[in-house]
Amino acid sequence: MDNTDLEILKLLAKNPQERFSRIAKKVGVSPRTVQKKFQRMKEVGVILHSSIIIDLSKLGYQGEATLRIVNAPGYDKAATIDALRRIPNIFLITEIIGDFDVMAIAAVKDYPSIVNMVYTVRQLVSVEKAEVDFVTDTQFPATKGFNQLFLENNQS
Amino acid sequence: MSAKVEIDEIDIKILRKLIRDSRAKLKDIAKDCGLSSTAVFNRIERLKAQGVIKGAALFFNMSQLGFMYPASIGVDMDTHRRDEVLEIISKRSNVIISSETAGSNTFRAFLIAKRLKDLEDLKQIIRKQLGSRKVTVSIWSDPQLLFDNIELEPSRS
Repeated sequence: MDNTDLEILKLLAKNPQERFSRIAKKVGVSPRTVQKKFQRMKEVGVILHSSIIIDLSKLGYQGEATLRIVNAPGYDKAATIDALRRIPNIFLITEIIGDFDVMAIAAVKDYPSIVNMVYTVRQLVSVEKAEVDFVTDTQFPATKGFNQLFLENNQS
Repeated sequence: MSAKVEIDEIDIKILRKLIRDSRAKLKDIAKDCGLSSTAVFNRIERLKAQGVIKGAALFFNMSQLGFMYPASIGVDMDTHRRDEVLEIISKRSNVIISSETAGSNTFRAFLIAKRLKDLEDLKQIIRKQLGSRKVTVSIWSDPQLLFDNIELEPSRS
């Protein structure tokens, strides 16, 4: 990561959909350089993903559920994660260090859909215990916070 | 909760493309949907006006940029002291989002801490000083984004 990379990243954090030509002008390099550096940052995994933000409440969703799972002894966490990947509307899964082993976040439409999801997860042999919390956030996949956090910490 | 808006199969196709890549080119989306670029542009503008598309988010590998410990924290405590807890959390880490919850916690926050010690301190302070019943700190390792997993259904045909 050089200074130009950081400048590009800052502009993308302000507006993830900013045109490369405009970024190039602001940074003082050619659009081709921006394109190449963007690709490179994606390849090495600095930039993971860029998505639009959708307000899921407009599409029939009521909130998000967070599942915290304790893996059953003798079972690999990977088995749990693999099963979670196949459950619709789970859009983030991470191994966690702490009182629980795996966490998943899902968009939920209504109460019965949470009940079904938790039931499905508890049925998994690799799951010993599953706890759930519900929040009424419907900004998918996240609010702007992620970008802003980066900007706040990279004031120049 | 805001009112549901009417969207069709083509809108969903466009939304899916943009969830996969917010920088997708109009002409590529147009080609996939069998529409003109103008028609796609107009639909995207309509989806924005309807409040379906709210903006775009970029996901970085935070650890490569010096943010070492993404974590979530769940607190079970009296709701009226929530603001005090939030203030303490904000002072010691970068809070991405915090919300009140229904379930095993009173509220939860996602945050990124610079040092492990900050997370440990946080836990102790919330536990001891603010009389919480339970504090659960979970440090994320290896998060996977599965945005394609979201189910979108047309509200009209």
